Amino acid sequence: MSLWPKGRKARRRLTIIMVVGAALAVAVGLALSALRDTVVFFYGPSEIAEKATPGQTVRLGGLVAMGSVEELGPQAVRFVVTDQAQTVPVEYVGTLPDLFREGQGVVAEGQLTPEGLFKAKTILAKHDETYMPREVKKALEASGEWRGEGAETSVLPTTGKANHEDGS
Amino acid sequence: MLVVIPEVSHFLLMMALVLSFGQAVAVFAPTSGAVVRGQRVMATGLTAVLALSFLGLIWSFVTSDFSVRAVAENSHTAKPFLYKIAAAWGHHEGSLVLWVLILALFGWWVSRLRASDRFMQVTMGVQGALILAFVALIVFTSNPFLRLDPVPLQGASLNPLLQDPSLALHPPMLYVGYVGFSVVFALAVAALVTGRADADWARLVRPVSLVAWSFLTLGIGLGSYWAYYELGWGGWWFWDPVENASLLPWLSGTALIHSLIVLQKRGLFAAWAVFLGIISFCLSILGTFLVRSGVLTSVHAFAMDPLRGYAVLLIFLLFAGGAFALYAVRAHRLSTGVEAPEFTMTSREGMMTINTVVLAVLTLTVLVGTLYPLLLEGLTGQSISVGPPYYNQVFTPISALLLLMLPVGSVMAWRHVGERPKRLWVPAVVVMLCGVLLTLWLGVAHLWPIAGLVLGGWVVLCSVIDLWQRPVRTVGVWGMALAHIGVGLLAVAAVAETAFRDDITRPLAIGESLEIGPTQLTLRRVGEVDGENYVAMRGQVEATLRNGKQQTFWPERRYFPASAQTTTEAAIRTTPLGDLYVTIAEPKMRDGEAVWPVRVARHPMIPALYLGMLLMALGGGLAAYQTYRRRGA
Repeated sequence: MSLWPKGRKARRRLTIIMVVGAALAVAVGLALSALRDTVVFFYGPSEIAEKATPGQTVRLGGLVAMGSVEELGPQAVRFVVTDQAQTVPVEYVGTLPDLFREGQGVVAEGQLTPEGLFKAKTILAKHDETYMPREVKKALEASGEWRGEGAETSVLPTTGKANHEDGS
Repeated sequence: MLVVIPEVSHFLLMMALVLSFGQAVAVFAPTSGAVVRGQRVMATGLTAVLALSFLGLIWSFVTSDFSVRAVAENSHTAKPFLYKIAAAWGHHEGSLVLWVLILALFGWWVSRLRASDRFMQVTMGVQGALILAFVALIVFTSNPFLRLDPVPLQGASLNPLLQDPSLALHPPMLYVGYVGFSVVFALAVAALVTGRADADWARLVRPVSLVAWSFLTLGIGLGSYWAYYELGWGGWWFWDPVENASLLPWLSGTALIHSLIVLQKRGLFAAWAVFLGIISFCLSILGTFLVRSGVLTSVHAFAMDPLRGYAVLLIFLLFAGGAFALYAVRAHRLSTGVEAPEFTMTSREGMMTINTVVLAVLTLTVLVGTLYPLLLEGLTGQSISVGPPYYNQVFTPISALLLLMLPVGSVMAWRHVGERPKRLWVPAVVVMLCGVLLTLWLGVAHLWPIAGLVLGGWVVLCSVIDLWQRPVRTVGVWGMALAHIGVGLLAVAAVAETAFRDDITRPLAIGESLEIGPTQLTLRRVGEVDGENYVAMRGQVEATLRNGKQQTFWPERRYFPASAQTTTEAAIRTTPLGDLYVTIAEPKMRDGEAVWPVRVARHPMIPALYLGMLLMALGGGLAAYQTYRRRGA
């Protein structure tokens, strides 16, 4: 084979390039196929209804509406996530993170039921109570309700809540 | 006099700016012994100036001088003394001062190396440029010595989650790791400029890369340990983007320390080692950028000014771009001092090189998973997150391959397989047998985790046997063996912890019990206790273990009035085989009676997990010692 170089150094170089190339190709293929299957999309309350299919694992971000947290039992809790334009009722079974508060940003991972109820598997915790998850900020900006960093985030209970009350 | 300490410290930062500028531009002067001596003096001066400035910052924190903004925002008079000191680097500005101080200390260390004038001139010049860039970042965007007027009476305190011994140490350890790679970076650039990356160069680089790698291991380990017991999410690694940011240089650094061995012993693949040296530091800066710019949504994300993030990004682009441009032009002309050495894949150097390639691929997959969400959001505006499922699919099989190969590489001889590889079939049979027994015991449903356990056990067993059979056991041999045993232990524990942890949460009234496995736990009492700067609700949970022994757990919820924050303090009982982990939450009412949600979790093999990390760091340290001692010989 004339394509196969003669010199020892050149031959080694070619071998190495081939090995590294193959390894990279396999890795990138593996990574991309895994990404396609495992990526979790993030939606604000205004987008989730149209964009997320029920049963698909997604993240929901927004503010916990004031006065919306109600306990369904010692373990289960229900609250409303809002971006001031739309609201989504959320049910969660488990212990809430220490920094979970009404009126503050929250990111929940879980699934939307066909009735429009968001069943959260995890409520994401964060370090710092003044920190607003970037996605929540984005969701608020998207609905035109972002008031800037440090602005008073007074979240009024909104009317949308009543529509979902029968969701359980 | 002491009142002006912040101003003096600020002035010292300005001096550092001038000195590092001098050290950096000296690279363009015609090479001479005088220039190098000048750079050495400046490197020493820089260290002194930055150390004093950092001491000044600590002084402001210790004396709770709330006229300094950083102190007012991050400290409090009622905070324990240790955390007043730790608060000095528990926030953005102060942590940058610590970062440049460590940069200067490494710069001072590198200035004392003996090498050719040109080589030293470039090395110190690059180190000076790095210090210049980061000191400028502090002075122009993140001055920690800004004064406040009017002076607040009390500080806002450090986030109570961060008031923790392991987290006080976590940033310094991590920075020593990140910044240690800066020296490797400088030495790599100097190698490219002078055109030599030979065994002597590898000898210079090995100790410092091992030191950096070991501290990075410790830093990551401490962070993980903190997340495990303080955040109470019931896990030790979450594939959080910021965790990944520290894992990236660790992975490429692991590849680096192995490729340096191949270069030193066999004069092979100099360009690859130089590349890994450059990329390790670039990934360190990238990590810093990702953490500080707020572009990532993460538990670690600080509420941060994006301007600073872009400044770090600029530094990253400048140094990474410059180094890779130089690499593109000069890498093929690197001389190893050995003419066309022989090379076969079935040799120790062959296996080690494959190992470095696989590690690089692993780095790439983590990088893809970390950056892909940013890329997609930038392009389409759609936010996504890439979580554990991705890494389970990608990271796990590739690292399994590494574990499989590790012992095979260790038993091979340099250059060639002269004899048949040492008896690997004995440990292979032993671990396979254990695997079969485990499958019979736990069931076929657990086949995958059992395969993981077998692989980890394979690495541990082979490393122990290898150490046993060595005729001479030097410090370096011990280091290698311990680090490899650590890797195996970590693998075993990580698999066991991920696959076999379980937990149960139940609201308990006083006197009620819950059961987990053979253990029964009863909530006896809930009381209030006062801490130094918090009040805590403390539960008393009696556990009756399998053997009938009694044990008391004291899980707490601490309320910190200074920052109006509550933290959960888990009560953990550690045995060699695993942890029993108890937390308690705010009381609720049930039929007119108070109940406290108590969560109990079993985490198998957690001690082995952290022992594994500790052994890796220790092994790296021993190897660093050995390579440093041998350097002159």
